[in-house]
Amino acid sequence: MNTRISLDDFEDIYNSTYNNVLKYVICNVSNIDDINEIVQDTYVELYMILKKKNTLQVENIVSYVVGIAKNKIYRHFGFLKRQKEDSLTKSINYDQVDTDIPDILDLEEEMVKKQSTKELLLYIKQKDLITAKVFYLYYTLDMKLSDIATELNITESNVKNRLYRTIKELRKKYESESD
Amino acid sequence: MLKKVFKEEISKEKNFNEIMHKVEKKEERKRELKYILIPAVLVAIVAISTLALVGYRKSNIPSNSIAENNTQGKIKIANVELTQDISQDIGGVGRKISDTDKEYAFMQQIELPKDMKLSYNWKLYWPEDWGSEEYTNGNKELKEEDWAQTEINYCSENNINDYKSEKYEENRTVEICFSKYDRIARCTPVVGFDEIESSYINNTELKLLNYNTTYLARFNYNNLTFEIICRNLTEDEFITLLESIIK
Repeated sequence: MNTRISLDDFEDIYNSTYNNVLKYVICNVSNIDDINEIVQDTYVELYMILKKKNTLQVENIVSYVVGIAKNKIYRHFGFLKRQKEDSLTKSINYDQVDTDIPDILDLEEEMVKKQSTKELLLYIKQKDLITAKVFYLYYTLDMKLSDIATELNITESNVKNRLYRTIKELRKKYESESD
Repeated sequence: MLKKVFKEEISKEKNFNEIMHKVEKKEERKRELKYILIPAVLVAIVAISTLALVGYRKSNIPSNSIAENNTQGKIKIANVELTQDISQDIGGVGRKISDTDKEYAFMQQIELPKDMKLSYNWKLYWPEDWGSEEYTNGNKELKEEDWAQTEINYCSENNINDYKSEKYEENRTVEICFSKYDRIARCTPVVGFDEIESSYINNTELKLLNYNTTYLARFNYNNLTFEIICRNLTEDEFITLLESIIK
């Protein structure tokens, strides 16, 4: 069934589609730093389309906006850029089962304050792209580990291990800096 | 705690505010263009008529850029709008490299703003039939073995150098892409590139354009085809970079 939308609906459309668009962008972006820009540019384009056309009939508004995001990603990067993981990352087996993964995957407040959010984010962004995406999907969108695994086409234990091992590294880093 | 960190990094509210800010900037730009164009056209008509009356030949239309310099050449940056259906997707398989500077000596002498640091270098390869229906309709896709093959099997190699600002929040980036072949891996969402008036730096012809907060340059120099994209840099910084490459 087609839905008619206009510029007056922009804010409602933003609120109702944001999570889906953000999820798509995180999963498909080649550079994690560009997430905000691509999301913003997607909605700027939607705004300009609605302004130009006054009203628009769409079958599925979520698919429509995600379609704009898809185009933005293509144009932003200009080509299909497949990042090869470096040899160090390739040697890490994230599928190997860790028996002592805690239930709560988080850092204490003191650790976050000690390292500053910028340093913390930089550390995570410098990990391989898949690990960074796992963090963004888990902590930004509150996605379940199983859903993250499906979106990124990896196993659930892979997702869990990436989260856990990175948090463990961050803890170690905090502890060594405290000494 | 980590949730708080990430939700501040990707904030729904901040993004909405930034979206409205970008929309306002776009509309302001359109209004400015309208107010500049109408008087500019009138002035041009008067100028041409005057010149015709005194019998001079028509001179070059003045550049809208600050970088007009008789010893360097003429700079003319076209302002364009992006439209969705004119992008050309070209793709390839990429891998990080660290030695573009050594292979191409001119990269050591480029002039970038002090806050720009190299993010990564890429070499990009793609097969001759990339862009064919088989790839675009998903029946064929680039695989590991494609990546592993040498340049000889591919029609183009592109070197891409990405620079990002240390002032993270300002989102300033520079991408310097060049190829030995006459094709570039990057696509640009602009049609009618040939119709853009040419600029010249040291007798080298360039096509320069600006959309939103992005500057783009395309040119051939030293047997290389270049495409340079600067986001959130000033026009000055953009031209300085071009002049440091084209000597």
